[in-house]
Amino acid sequence: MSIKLRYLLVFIIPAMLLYTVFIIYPLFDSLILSFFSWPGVGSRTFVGFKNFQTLFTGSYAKELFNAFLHNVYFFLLLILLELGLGFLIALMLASKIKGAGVFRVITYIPNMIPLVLVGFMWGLFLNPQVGLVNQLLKLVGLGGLAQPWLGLENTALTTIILVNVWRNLGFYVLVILAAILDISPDLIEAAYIDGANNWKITWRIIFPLTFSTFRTLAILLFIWSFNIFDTVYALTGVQAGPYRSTDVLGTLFYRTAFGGLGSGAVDMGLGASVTVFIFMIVMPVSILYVYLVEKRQRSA
Amino acid sequence: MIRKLVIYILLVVFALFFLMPVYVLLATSFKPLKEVGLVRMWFPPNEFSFDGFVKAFNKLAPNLRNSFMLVIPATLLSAVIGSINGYVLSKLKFRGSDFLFALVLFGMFIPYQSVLFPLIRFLQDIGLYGSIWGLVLVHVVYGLPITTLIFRNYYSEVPTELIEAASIDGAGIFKTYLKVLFPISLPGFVVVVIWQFTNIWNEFLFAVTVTSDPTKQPITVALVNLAGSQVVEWNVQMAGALLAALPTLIVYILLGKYFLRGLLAGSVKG
Repeated sequence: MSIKLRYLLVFIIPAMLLYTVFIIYPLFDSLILSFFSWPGVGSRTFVGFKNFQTLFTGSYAKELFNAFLHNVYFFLLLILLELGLGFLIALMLASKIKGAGVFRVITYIPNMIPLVLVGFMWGLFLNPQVGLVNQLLKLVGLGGLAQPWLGLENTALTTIILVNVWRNLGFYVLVILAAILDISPDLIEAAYIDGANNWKITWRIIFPLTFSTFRTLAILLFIWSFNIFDTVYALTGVQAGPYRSTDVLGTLFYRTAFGGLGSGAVDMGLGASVTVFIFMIVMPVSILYVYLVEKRQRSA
Repeated sequence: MIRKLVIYILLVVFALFFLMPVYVLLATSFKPLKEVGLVRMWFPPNEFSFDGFVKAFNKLAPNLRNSFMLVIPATLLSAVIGSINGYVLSKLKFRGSDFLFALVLFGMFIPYQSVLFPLIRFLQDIGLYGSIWGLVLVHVVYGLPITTLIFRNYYSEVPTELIEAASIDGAGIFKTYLKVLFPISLPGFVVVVIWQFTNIWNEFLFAVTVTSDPTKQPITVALVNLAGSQVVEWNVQMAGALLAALPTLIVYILLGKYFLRGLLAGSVKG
């Protein structure tokens, strides 16, 4: 169908204008800012690549690397837990059991609690002395395992990730379940008649046919893992304690750009360079995601 | 038979994992202040009390109102604009439309922190900083990528012949949208509304930075202030949390059955 371009523009220009002003412009502004030094007020001073030097080889190198590794750890553990457990629960819900609908709602309930409250709640539950988690461990005779989960360097980050899983698992269950239910029941029926067992059906039929969903979710998890901020902020604050053991790029950015209790000089320019670094990691994967969406559109 | 039993046991274990904290939330919120405390966190209330809810509601009512003033226009606007974008980008292919769509999608992956400062400055320039309307605008724009994506995928399943038939009948593109596409868009709108409502309602970072006046802040910010206060009124804080979660719960219960179906056509099907 032929359409006059000007009608089209009338249709789409308001959205594009808003989009440019609110998303593209701030993004470029951040990019430019990363070459300046700026305390947040007053004039900016051009410093060339100095921010990046400070970040990669200077006084912030250790913190940057530390935070980056935590983002990677975040991603790997989320893949394993969200997709692994998500698949397991979705498979169980798909196997025509009674009450599947109720379980489906239950898994989605934590998603409805505001994230900042999830942080507050779990902060209480993980309280070293009287928190729910340690009391539960004592109850089942594992009192020896009780410890200040968020207060120890080697458990804090994993604990934050587990809280994240608690909050979001329902979403992954729903999406994977939707993909499984989309498979034609005849296919599975036929496999049963041919004598295939559950294990075989799961890995030879269900998994390959839902693989594209897993791929998309993995890509989204990657992007979210490197953008993560709220959960860490809510549980261990911008200082990402203890001793930066829960620090991620998002909290590092926050400290450099906006400061925080006890942190050093604030420089928006340095903060912006952290953003640019995050963006350089996330961008290629985003392109892959967009490419896959495009490809699906073509084949649809 | 054993297989079914194993499945049930596993599901119950998972359900406990999901519900235990919710139980504590419920139990604490119905306790009178004297029963509140870490030691008795586990136990159900000895006597039911609505003090927590009354107090929380009195404190949070203005913020609840702010949140509704924010979430309703922001959700509807981003849904409508997303629907129009989705229509243009899926059915009216023009040169550069794919590129435009790709560009819009990238907006989904921008960390909010990274655009915060220029964004705030811009809002100050146009005089919307500190107001709910500024926040509405921000959420409309940052919702566009996902709403456009969902509607584009949804409309791409609508046969193009339907659009062409309308255009032969002399309908312009706006009329075609209104008469042909809009009436069949309900499932798409349901998904988008649930998604946007939940996300905007629960959002914190924009909310706390764009509105600094406590009387203008949405519920999430007020809740954090409530939770962060030194007084151990957990019954009030937990009741506040429940009040804050209630609207999204209602939306999900009312529209939930379309949600799964919509997700299939939505953003995450590979």
